[in-house]
Amino acid sequence: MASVSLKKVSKRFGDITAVENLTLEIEDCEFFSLLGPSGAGKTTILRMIAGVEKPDKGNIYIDDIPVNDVPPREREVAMVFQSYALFPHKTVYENMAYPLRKRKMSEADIKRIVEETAEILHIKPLLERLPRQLSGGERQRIGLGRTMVRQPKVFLFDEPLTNLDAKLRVEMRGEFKKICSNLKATVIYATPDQLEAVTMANRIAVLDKGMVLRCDSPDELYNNPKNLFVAGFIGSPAMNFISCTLTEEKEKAYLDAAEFRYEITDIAEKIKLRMTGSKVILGVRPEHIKISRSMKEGYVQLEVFVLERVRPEIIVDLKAGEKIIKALAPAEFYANIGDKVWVGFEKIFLFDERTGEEITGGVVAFG
Amino acid sequence: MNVLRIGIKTKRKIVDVLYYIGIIIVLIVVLFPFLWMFLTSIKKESDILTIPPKIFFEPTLDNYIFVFERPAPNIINGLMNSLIIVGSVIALTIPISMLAAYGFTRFNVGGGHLQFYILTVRMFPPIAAIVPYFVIFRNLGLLDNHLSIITLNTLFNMPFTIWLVAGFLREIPQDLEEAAMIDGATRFEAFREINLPLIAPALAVAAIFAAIFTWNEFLFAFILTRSEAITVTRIMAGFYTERGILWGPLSAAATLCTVPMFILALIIQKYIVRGLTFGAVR
Repeated sequence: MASVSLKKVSKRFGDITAVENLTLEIEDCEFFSLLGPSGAGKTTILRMIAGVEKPDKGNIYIDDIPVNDVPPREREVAMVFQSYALFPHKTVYENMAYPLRKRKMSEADIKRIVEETAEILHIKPLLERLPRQLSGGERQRIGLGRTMVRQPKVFLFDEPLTNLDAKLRVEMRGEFKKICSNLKATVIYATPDQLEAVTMANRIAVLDKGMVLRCDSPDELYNNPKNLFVAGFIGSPAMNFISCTLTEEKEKAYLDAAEFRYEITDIAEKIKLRMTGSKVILGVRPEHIKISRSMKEGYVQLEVFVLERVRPEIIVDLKAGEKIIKALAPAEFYANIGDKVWVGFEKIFLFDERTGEEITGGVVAFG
Repeated sequence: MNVLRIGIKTKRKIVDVLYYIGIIIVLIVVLFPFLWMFLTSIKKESDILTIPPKIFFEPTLDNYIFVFERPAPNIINGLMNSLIIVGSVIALTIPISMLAAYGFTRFNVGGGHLQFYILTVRMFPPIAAIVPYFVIFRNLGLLDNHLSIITLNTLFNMPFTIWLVAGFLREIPQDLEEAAMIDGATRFEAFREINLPLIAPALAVAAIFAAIFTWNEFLFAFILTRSEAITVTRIMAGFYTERGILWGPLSAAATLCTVPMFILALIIQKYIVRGLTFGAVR
């Protein structure tokens, strides 16, 4: 139970900058997620908090105490590695007992705690086995169990579900969330999967190239992404981006894409103030696209490229010039490939093409 | 169906037979010198150098008695000294190499250059440096002393051992020791409790290599020892006398000389097999 903060932390490996001038405040008992593609610096941040990596610059605080020079064993943090890092020559029991042995606990206490933890994680029958005799999901539980046997101030999870198969990942995600809410501790969870982050975390820091792009609640990131990278990273299927030019004709303003034009007279003034060039990027989430078989006011005509039945919904791939726009349609929707349909946007985001910043100042709703 | 099955069975039998014939040929090639050595050691002098070689002869233990009854330093001193030297070399080489390899693999000490430099020691022909070594050890008063031989053998064994152990350590994910350190271990404890058990097979392999190299080492022993620290190889050279090569006693000494290494190989054998197939930690 502790707060963790990083102040202006930088870390380089040779010529590669892993983390650049990073500042994060993670509150006590928060489920905090570090979200970013591989190479974004997530693992490096966790390793620095754990103490196995030293920052080149900046300070790390646990409970407001600077820990830069505190060795890992005295930091009272626990970490689950992506590889699980189980000791291959020790049994499951000994793996889980290891942190307790290091704390010189009596054999009876160790036995009690390990068995209690094994009970929670449903791994009691595995205690006498060696890690190599276990499946991926089982190893994952042992890795988690090894951190749970003691009461660390902070739990660090480095992509714990990444190495599991898809079905098990969904299963473990729910279980993970349940277990973590019972831990009553600060949890820092690194993942490249936005779904894991938005379903489990209270707050998410979106990272790219060692920098924090946004740090906010999942809802806020979804509704108000503020820049292209975050907009593209949060949400599944991902937001569609269409490059447009802002054109004005007879006191009306249009977004001019290659295949269609879209009227935005109402917000044109606001946008123009914040634009740095003439190009903007139109961002629309698949779930905000309405498809109609007949013409409607303000709708644009596009061609159906392919249908992906994901059930219960359908992802409709629409062709706009060279670009494919993905839209989410209800299960009843049907169209043949090559059909012309009418498409309307319920909500749009506009981004400056040059800076990638959002220029509408929040979501723009239509219709 | 039946015909096919019989076909497969006979085929497998033929493969098995060929396999064993191959093994037998290899064994004959490898073991023949040992057989010749052993037979020579139990032949009378008059039976040794006959042409054609005598296959049936009256065995004798005279050669062994001769070897043991020679005035000191004899084979017993040689075996004792060699055992002391081999034991000390292993006791020094293994811990030093293990820690050096850890430093090289985990902290990249010397950026790879230092490790390569150490490996070049192995490429260097020892005979080129034997005169300076002689002078150095003479000035240190360590001629005919176990210490000088132990030092040199340790020096020349370490490069290979470091290289071998470093290769094994690189195979072990760094996550393991880091997990141990986060869970409350010091770096040294993490090494001892996590890495050491995992590289034990490599250490066994390294130990037997060091033992064989040191046991067979002749050059340093020839130049630097005389009687106090005389090694078994140097003793054997003593059978090349002014009245000719004493084939019988030489063979007897050589036979005795192989016994300790044979026993060592038997003990460490299973580790070697495990060590050479090691690598799959996960």
